[in-house]
Amino acid sequence: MKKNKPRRKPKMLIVEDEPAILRAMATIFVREGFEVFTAGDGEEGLAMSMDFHPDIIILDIIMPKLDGIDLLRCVREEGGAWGKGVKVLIYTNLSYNEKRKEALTVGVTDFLIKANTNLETLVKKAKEELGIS
Amino acid sequence: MITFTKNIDDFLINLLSYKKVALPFIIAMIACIFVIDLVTPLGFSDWALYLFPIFFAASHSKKEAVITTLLATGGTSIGIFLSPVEHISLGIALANRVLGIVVLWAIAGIFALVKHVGSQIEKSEARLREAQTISGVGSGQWDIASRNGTVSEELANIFQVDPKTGKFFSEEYLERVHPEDRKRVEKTVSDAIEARLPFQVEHRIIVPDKTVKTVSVLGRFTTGQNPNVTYLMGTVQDISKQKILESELAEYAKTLEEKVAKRTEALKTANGILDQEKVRAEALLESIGEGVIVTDKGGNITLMNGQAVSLLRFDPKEAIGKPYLQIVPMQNEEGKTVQGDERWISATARGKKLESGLFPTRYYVRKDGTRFPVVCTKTPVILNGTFIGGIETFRDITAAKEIDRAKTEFVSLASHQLRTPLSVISMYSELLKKPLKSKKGADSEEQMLYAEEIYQATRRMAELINDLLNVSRIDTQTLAVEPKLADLKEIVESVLKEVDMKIKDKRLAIETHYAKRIPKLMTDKQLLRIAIQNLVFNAIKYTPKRGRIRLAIQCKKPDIIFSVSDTGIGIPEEQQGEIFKKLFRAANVNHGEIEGTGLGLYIARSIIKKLGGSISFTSKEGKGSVFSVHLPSCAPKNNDERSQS
Repeated sequence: MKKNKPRRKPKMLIVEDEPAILRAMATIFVREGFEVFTAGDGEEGLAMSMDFHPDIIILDIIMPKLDGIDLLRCVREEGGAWGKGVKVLIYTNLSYNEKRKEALTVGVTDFLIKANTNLETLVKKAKEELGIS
Repeated sequence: MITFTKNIDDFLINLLSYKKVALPFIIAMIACIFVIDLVTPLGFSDWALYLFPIFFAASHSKKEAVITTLLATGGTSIGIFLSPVEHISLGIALANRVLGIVVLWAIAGIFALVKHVGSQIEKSEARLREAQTISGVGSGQWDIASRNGTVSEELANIFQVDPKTGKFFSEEYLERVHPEDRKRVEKTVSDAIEARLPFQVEHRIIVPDKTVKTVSVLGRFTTGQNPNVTYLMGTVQDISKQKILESELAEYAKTLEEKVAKRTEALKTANGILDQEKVRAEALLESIGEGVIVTDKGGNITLMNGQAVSLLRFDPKEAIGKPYLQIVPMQNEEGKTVQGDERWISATARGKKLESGLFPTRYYVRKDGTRFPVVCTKTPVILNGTFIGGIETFRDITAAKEIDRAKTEFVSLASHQLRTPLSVISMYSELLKKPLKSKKGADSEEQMLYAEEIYQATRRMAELINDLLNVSRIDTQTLAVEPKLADLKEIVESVLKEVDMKIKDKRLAIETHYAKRIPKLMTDKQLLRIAIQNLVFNAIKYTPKRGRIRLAIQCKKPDIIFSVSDTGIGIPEEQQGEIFKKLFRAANVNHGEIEGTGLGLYIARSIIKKLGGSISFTSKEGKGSVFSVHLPSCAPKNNDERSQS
């Protein structure tokens, strides 16, 4: 609730190596009033996380250079107070079966499958996590 | 006085043989003594004394005869001296008396001997008769020339001849010989007569009462005092009984022989078959590509085939007789030793056949520590209802495991690859179908409609991929269960929210009945949601427009029951047993109109089972169906290692 300051746009970082998907996600979140940062690989994503301290991060798992799980681990371990509290949604096409366990151990907020979660649901989920109605 | 030496014996027998000669001789001798005594002047009164020893000798035993003879002789001698001598000189009288005594003494001796020998002969004759009767051996003697014969009582009995006469001519003998044997007997005897050699012949006779007997004849020739007279001496034995016995015995022996021969033949055949079976069984055992281990009821290895030896890489000599469990240790995926029911005796002893599958994978550990995945079948060996051992066949499934791993990887990769472009299409059609504030108009509306179609199709495609993935996980038993506290009502509501559009499209009436206090469940939220989703999707899919769907959660300790009722098309009664099978689609479904993969219920039931619950249904074709899910309110027992991926 603390982050839900009415005047400030919620800051979001999207890390996704598939440009078409990244664009679609960015489009919808911008429409929904988010301040959106995007990164095309894991390393870039980690750097931007540390620089911008977004309120919420949406991560893919399989990405060049650094995968989503490792990125999340770095954020949680090295991001200090922000790192511990930031909401992180994994949004991937890997079925949760293979990676979910691992993601849960490094402190993921939720684990969503792209094919099963449309943009509308994703937006709802993100808003829910940030306490925006 | 007499020693029965052999010579004297012979002499006496000869003497007896000439009884008729000896008796007149003795009488003549006595007459001579009387004459001499009359001539010489001796008292007539002494005669009695002279005869006395003779009477005694004739009528008493050998010993008495000798004693009385001696006494009489003594008495007579004294008498000589006592009697008066008148007109003869003492010398003549003395010589006369001495001569008389000597002669009388000799006569008495001869009498005594004749008497004794006679009794001896009578005795031996009686003995002979008895012996002949007992042994059935008769004897006879024939004069070759006159053909006249005398036969023993027993021989008379055998031939049924009058025993009183004892006469039996050789012609009579021949008449009684069986006609078939007659020539042979005649020839044997005539040959023997010619050669003067002993003979033996066996032949049948027919006696007057028509009985047929078999006799054995032994014959020899003797010549008596008169060298011109030859006797045929023969013994005849009735061997009829013996013959009958012999023939019976022969018959018996023959039957026995036949039987033995038959049995031997049968045994040979059986042995042959057995050998053949053994060779066949051994070849069969060796030809099997699977390892075979046989144990006794105590679980000790008694037999193994070549494949088992090569798979487990041990020396069969070391393994035979050893406990199976010790020789062939089994491990699970994590390398823990598997024991208990899954192993040997305990399970098969109860008469159960036990088969293991690809999952959960079991490994056999070799002596050198290496291991390989196996699939094995254990079968009890039951003889007359008693467990006598077990047989296990097993095979190395390394290759199968590899293929399975590759398949799982492929499915996972393919679904991932398929999902990425699908997600792109889905996302953009989703973006398109939402009106942008800046653009409004007929064109845009039509475009939004198209975008909606594209979006719906991609959703279906995404669901299909999900179904396939889930089925793949169920089939490979890699469905991961992550139990967490979950709110059933929340899950149901979220599913309802998801299908909101569809409900509105079909104008379905949704009713919900939730129990007031629903305890939280310790379960896998994601999996439970998939199961519930499938049931709700089905209810919507198979309920016609304006139908009713009722969702309910009840608490019936220790279970929580979730149920979905609809007023849909229902399931035909005859197909109700099959609805949970993979790829099942009901016959009353218009496939063109209602899409479906036939996987939903299969997935739902597999998941519910995995979560420790159960699923049931009632349905009436044309009226609707009710599906109920029973979930344990406590945590599902997570001791099944299959739940670990």
